[in-house]
Amino acid sequence: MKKKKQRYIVPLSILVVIVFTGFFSLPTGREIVVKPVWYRNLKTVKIVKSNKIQQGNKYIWYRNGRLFGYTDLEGNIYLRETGSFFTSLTDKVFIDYSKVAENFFLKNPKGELISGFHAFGYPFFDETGQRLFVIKTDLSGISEITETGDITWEQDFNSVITSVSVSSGEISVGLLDGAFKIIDNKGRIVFDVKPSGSSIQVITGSAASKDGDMFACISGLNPQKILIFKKKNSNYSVIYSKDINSDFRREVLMRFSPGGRFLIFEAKGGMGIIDINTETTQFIRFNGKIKELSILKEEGLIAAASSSRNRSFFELLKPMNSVFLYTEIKGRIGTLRRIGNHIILGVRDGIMRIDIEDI
Amino acid sequence: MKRLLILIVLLLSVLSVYGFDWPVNKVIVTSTFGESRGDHFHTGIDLGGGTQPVFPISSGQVVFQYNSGQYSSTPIGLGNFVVLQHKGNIRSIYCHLKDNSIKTGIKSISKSDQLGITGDTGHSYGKHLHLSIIDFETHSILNPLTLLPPVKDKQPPIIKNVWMKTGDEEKKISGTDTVKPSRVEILAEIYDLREDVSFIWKLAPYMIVLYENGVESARITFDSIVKYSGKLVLAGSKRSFNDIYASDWIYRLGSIELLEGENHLLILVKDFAGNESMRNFFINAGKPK
Repeated sequence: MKKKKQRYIVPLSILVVIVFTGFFSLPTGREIVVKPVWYRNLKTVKIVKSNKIQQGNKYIWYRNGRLFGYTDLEGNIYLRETGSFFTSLTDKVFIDYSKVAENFFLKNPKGELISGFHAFGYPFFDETGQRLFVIKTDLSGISEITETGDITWEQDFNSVITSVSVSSGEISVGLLDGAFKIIDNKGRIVFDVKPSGSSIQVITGSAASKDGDMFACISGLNPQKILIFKKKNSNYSVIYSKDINSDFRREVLMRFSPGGRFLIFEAKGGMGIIDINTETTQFIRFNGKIKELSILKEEGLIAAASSSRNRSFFELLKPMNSVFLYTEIKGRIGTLRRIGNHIILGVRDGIMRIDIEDI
Repeated sequence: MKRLLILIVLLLSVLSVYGFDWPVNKVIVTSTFGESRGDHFHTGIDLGGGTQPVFPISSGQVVFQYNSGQYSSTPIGLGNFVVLQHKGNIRSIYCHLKDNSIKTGIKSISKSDQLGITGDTGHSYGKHLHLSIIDFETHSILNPLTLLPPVKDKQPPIIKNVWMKTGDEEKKISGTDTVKPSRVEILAEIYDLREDVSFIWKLAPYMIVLYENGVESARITFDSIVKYSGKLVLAGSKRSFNDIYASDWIYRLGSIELLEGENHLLILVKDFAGNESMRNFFINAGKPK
């Protein structure tokens, strides 16, 4: 009798396992794999000679401290230069200028001169490298210029510019007097607001979504507020306004996720993330001040670099989730750029590529 | 008596708002308000004197600051800087401060607290302090020299050369000129000089007035800058940078109509200490042939 019972134990167990895995098993969830691919020490790396550069090469700019230049996904270094004062970089062109420069020289990633022209102020490109702006050295005005130096439009302010954000069409400017202005690509102020409710007015941060449909700013002191504006039929209206417990008296970094769902910003002691769809906010404790932010995938993954005195940190996190990678980097942290699912990160004396795989 | 009392009260209230002190101990003005900066007015004053501590012009609250290495969305020409808010919504801005000299984490500051140290950061040719004062009540950038204690200066400003311009043609005015009756633009090379150096170091004057046959026809006063039609202009004349400057020290005084016969031009220039200079010109406008 006992033997008969034992005969059924094995097939019954298998059946139980099949039924359980078939009906009651839970997915294990997607895993994110962070893979360092290469590291190049900028002090010792060999530069690819310009005659060996292939046509159609995809250049990626990098910056680390005063060193800047161009690399590619394979880690070839095409240019490595020491910046004069500041360098405005895009993947196609760069301008390196001295602190008292009155001439701009546009060069390609090989370091060859494209054009040069006389201009006052400091130049900077938008993220795409399609638009070139000049900010007055006393921060009292901004203009857009062509790559030959012709002024497309200019706007002066009887204040000081404290923050600038560029979208595909519009540009937002935050001012010392607490005004937040949106300027269209013809230089017209299409939105002008001075958020009230704080005892001291000042704009300490701004962000523009990639498509130009949303803008945000951090405004005022006592209390400090965060506001999000949405464009609808060429009008802008406040869709989110909340007091935050920070007291920043300096510019803070804030960015929209590429799809526009999340607003990520430096918050008191860490990072704040607002889910615009649900109006929920998440706070993530961080070490130091956030210096660079990059959002991988449409709404997915945030890479952040922060620093506190001589310590640097690199963090990876998912909005509305926790930090899943946190590492202290000895020495400074430089470029933090997203190229697809690859990150180009300036670390110590070099740059490295990190791949993020979602499996 | 009542009027006098009101006047005293008003004067005291103005003094209590604008009772500002120099932000440095060694006061050497190396650049004045309104000077040309290539494409815009100099919106403050520069104070030289090498490395020295910087103090607030009055007690106030820290509103905004930038220290090198800190995140910034744009390049910063002001270098390391601090903005303070004072009574009456007036803000003072201290620029080009030395790296790591600004105390961080301070919210309010008294007159005797050191803000930082003069430096050479940002768009700067040497160690100095750039000071700007903005009145956010009237939305005007004020000339600090009209608000700070007077500067010692005995040297009158210089009216070096004067030209009249018609179309593309420019003619230097010698004092006894004969021209056709016409409308001309008057340009003048004018500057004040620093007294503490033996070489020529030019500064902008405070006021330039042009008289035509005894009647004031143009006045440029560097007392405040406001925004007008999207541009920064001098508050009184509503003239923009390009309306005022032909080049760095050459001012566009204005256009006048030279009438047939003798025309008398008088140019009067004042500096910030009240020193005056003037030059007379007599232009004979003959009958056109």
